[in-house]
Amino acid sequence: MSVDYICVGANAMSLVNGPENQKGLKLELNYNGDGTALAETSVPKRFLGWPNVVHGGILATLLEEVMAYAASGGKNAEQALSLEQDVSFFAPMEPDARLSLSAKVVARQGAQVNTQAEARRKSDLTLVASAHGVYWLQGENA
Amino acid sequence: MKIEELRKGEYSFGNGQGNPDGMQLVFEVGPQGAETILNIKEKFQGWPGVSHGGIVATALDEAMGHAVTGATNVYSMSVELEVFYLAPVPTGQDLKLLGRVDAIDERKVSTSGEIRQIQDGMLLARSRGLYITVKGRQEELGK
Repeated sequence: MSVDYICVGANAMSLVNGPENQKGLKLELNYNGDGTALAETSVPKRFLGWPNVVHGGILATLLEEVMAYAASGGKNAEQALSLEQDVSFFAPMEPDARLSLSAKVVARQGAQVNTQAEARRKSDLTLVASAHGVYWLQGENA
Repeated sequence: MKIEELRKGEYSFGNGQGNPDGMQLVFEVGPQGAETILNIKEKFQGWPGVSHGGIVATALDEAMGHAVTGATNVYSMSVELEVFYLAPVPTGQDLKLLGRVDAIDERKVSTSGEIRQIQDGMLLARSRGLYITVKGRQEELGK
């Protein structure tokens, strides 16, 4: 099985951005070309933690995906293996409201890439959560 | 006790038994921590056969949060969550998920968590967390 085949399969059913995952988050990622990845989404109610609050793990999931995409240089987030993720939560985020995500590469040494990211409520730019991530690139991104 | 007996029917993504799209985790909770058998569904994959890193974080967050409840008898909210990914966490396999409380400083509770293979005890992921306890009914937290 080639790496490319694995990535195609992952894209199709990925929880975060897989088009064939009917219960997924269907996040659309964009890459600025300057090492910054951006995304915007609304989290459905099925991903709540406390009543009317998006689960912290789901925020971690979204931040993870956008950091991996930044680490891969906007090529293929599935080729950036997660090594570490550190998330700080600052404010509760309600479901079905627009959430803006951004991530950038802050350091790279060989195949190891360090990133940071944040999630903000789009309506008032409240900082909901921030994160640091460490990724290991493989395949064409290494 | 099984904490889900108190929370049955909740809609929480992590442990709500009334959320068919959630993880539906059921923990054994006590003063020393929380544990369960974790079997991550295919729909929560990142790669084929491998759980999404964010879902791994979610499972560890749930285990540590339940450990806080077991140790303090009140609910809590996540403030910091740090996850170390040591090996791929497979989907569709029974794994052991643990959360424990390491220190309590008034309302701040420091925790750790881990996911291991059952057969050989291999550590797949571990975590550290910081939680703030919240008094009052959980239904009021999101308002």
